[in-house]
Amino acid sequence: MRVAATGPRRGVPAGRAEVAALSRRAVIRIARQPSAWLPGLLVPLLMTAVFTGDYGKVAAAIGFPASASYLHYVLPAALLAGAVYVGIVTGTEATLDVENGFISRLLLATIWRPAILVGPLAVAALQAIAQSCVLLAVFAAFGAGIHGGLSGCVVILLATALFTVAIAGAAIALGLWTGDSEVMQGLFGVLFILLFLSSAFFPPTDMSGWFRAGATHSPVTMLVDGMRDPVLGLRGGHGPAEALLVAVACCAVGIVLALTALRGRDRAGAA
Amino acid sequence: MTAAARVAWLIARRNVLNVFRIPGNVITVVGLPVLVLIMFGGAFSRMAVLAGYPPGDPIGWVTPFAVVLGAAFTGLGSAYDVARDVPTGFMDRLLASPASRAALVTGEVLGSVGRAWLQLAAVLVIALPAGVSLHDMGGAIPLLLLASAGVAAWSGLWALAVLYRLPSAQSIGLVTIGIFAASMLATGQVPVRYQAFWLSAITKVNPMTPVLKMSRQGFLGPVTWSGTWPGLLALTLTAVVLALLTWASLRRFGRSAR
Repeated sequence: MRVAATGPRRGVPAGRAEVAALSRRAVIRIARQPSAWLPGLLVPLLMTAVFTGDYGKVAAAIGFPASASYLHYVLPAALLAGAVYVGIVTGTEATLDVENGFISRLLLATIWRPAILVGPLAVAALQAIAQSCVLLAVFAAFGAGIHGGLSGCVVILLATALFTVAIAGAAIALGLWTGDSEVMQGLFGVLFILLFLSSAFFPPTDMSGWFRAGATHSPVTMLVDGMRDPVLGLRGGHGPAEALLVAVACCAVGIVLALTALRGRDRAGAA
Repeated sequence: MTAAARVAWLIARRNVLNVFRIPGNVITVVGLPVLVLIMFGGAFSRMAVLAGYPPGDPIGWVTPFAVVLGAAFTGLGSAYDVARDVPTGFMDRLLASPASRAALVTGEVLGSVGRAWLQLAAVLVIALPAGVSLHDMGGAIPLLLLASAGVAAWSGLWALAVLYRLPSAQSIGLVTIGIFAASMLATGQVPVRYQAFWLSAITKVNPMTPVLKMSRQGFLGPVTWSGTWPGLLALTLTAVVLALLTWASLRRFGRSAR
């Protein structure tokens, strides 16, 4: 990398040039490969279509949701499913960098270590926002607009972006630890399925036993419910603030995991 | 054992060993259908009962779906094998070797079947103590073995068809979409009569639907020939179509590698 070879330019704060170079690289990699961004759009749309087709009648049969369509109800889940996909793609790219030795070469260079993570994570957040905007437009076209207005959209997009960074951070950490990209696709399935242990698709009140308790107290339920308030136009509650709080907490955990994994790989390389 | 069979066996063994080589893989490959069983069973079982389906117990409805869905994702192992082997040059060496190309494909497909049966074992270890009712044990388990093997073969062939054409790890997202669509646009979660009209129209022509019906026999009622043969036919015909697609992709890949 040219930036790494020449070092930071005079007047440029340490790391900014590396972050810019690695962010640009991440953007180009995504733009060049439709398979890196297309499934992030198609999977949530397909999931929404299938679940609405599958559960629309079932939900109506038991009188749920009372105040809105199932499409409104499932909107936050679709955005989070897209966020999971973006996070997994970011982890896959990092794992490929481990497999082809790029990370090792970066760690040999005298660059600011967190720059290796900041670029890809920032690009993942931006990709999630862009993808969510497209998804929101598609939902609106099918009659599931955001009743909470612009501020509601901002809350939803911010929570999705933070959640994406959380997943991307965890996926990068897993990639750095295992060095195998196959784990990533399996992780997508596992994380996607784990969305069910929340109010993402059905209210916990319609579940039973330990599953109901787990879904009720899941942080994802707080996140989803908080994102759903602006979708349904519910005002005055703490939902959006709680959603952002959970998203920030998840984001912090993801970043710490990624930094820990990077430090571990750095030490392993130095040993 | 003939040379071709030995090559196929070695490739299949490598595919399955990759599950255990990386600890994360055990969780994601074997754990996926178990999670499907737990999550779908937990999230939807009460709703299903409230809405009036299925006729038997909810775990009996979800267990075959968890096995078949898990099997549908086993092809990702083959996809990653190809995605790793192409940049390292191992794929070129395989193609330049006297090993028959059919053996290369068969080995990966058998690897997918091996993964699917691992998953089947894991799901049954959870489902049987959880109280899944077996109306016909002698028929239910063999049919489930057959369905998971057939769907794993589809998955492996589909993954190879895509990866031989677009040989990079980034293409695996496309494999996932195909698997996701085939698995979800069927009667995995909800019977046809509860689905929206557009979804039920797709479900009726999706070959996954008769396979799911076949695999649920013995769990929700007795095993019958009328519930079995459409599944067997769908498994065979779809496998033939996917095999032709894979063969065409492999020929194209072989030409470009020369």
